[in-house]
Amino acid sequence: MEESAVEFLGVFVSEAFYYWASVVMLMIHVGFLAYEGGVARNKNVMATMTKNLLTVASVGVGFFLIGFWIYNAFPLWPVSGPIFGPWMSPEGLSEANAELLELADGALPWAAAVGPNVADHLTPVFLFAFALFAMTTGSIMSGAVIERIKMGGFVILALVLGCVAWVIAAAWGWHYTGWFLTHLGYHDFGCSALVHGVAGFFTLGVLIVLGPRIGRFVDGKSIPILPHNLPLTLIGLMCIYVGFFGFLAACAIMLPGETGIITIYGTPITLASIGANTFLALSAGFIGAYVASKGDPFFTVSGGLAGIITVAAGMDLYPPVLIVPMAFGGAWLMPMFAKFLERFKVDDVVGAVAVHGFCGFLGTILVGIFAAGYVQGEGYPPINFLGQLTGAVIACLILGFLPGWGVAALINAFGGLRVSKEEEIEGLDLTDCGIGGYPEAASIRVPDLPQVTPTPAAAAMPTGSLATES
Amino acid sequence: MNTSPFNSATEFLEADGAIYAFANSPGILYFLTFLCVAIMIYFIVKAYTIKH
Repeated sequence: MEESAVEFLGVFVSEAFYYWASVVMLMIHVGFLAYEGGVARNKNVMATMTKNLLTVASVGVGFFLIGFWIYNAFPLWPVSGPIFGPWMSPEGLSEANAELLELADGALPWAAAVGPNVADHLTPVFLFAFALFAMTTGSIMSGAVIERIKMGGFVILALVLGCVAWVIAAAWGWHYTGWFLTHLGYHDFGCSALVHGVAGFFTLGVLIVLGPRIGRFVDGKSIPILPHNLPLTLIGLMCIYVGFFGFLAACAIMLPGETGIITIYGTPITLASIGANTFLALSAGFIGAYVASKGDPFFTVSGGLAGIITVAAGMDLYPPVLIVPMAFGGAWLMPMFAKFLERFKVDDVVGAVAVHGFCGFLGTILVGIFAAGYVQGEGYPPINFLGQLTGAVIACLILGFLPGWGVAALINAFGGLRVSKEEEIEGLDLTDCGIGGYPEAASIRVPDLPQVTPTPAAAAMPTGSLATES
Repeated sequence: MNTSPFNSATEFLEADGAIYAFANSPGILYFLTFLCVAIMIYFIVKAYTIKH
């Protein structure tokens, strides 16, 4: 085979790998659509699912316009270098900085690299993959805030989270020159803190401002609100898991000319071990949440995600026999954290803060214990607990919670966050979408039906999954 | 605690073999395997006993 053909083969393998990993990642959003639609009550199904579509819409375009550039422009700032942008010239820059400037310029919306360009097969496919990561952050938030948030307010929040907040965290902690890596020895292979932690704590900030749904807490007592279709929710989460295999595969770096697969930090990995560790974490996560929630199906199915997120940060370095107890433990704690949040009247409809925020934070700091001592590059600090803790706190609190709370408070100050009480009671389907999810049901509905109340057995079941119909 | 089987960045980046944590501590790996088995047994027991 000719040398140029061999070279092209290397490019094609890389291009095809990220292309199909990104397509698989789209299943995350198929899953979120079903998951959140199932959790909503009848009167909010279409509004909930439409909001999910708008997450893909807003973050997809927004990430193309600004997010991709932020990722490439911010890895050194503010600790070890400038923000790279079109206002700079490569003249006078070091070779390494000139390379970063080229990458940042190549990520601008009008750059030649992002369009059809036979000299660059990879930049557009990286844009594709990164945009899917970004949409995931928006989808993490979207389920928590359903049934009372204004569509416009949600879109603004999704843009801030998906196109700015998590992207800065990724530039700092998920980039081969990011200052988390070079100055802290930080390691977060599967983005436990950088995607899940940021999104989970951003969501917490939003929820504090947004407040609970009407009827969720009465006289200080937690009143569970039932999902309208729990089987749909379970199927949705299984779709999310399919997508997560693509997500974690896409975290591996497979570039033309390389002699092996590496992480974003340049350290060696194998794709096979990522697959094995992901399915083990999924299985052990189910077990942990099943046991902890005493068989609650909602928490059990969420446990798989909790398990994966707990191990994702270090799954490239963990042996499988460590993955099982770690994923089990994270998923076992998750329902307890969800209940803990309820004490503060935080109405997180899908448990996003517990699953993504808590497990993301936990998983990141655990790397500082169970993968301590690995040196990821000459002159870098080894992976250590303090470095992991610092990175997790910056990601989750400074880039997650604070922007979520601050932007939500700002939107709320202008009356743009929460729907009116009348709209909320009527349901958002008619006002947001003009149609309900089950229009045939309307024709057989009897207006004066008595209010449905839970049976004693249903009322005694764990919260987060049960309900009364208002 | 140092769980890395490598002493330097070069050793790690040019590794040719197992790169996972505790790779040079078989005792810990045996203990973790025992823990996995214990979790499985606990799970089986709970699958019988959890009732509503």
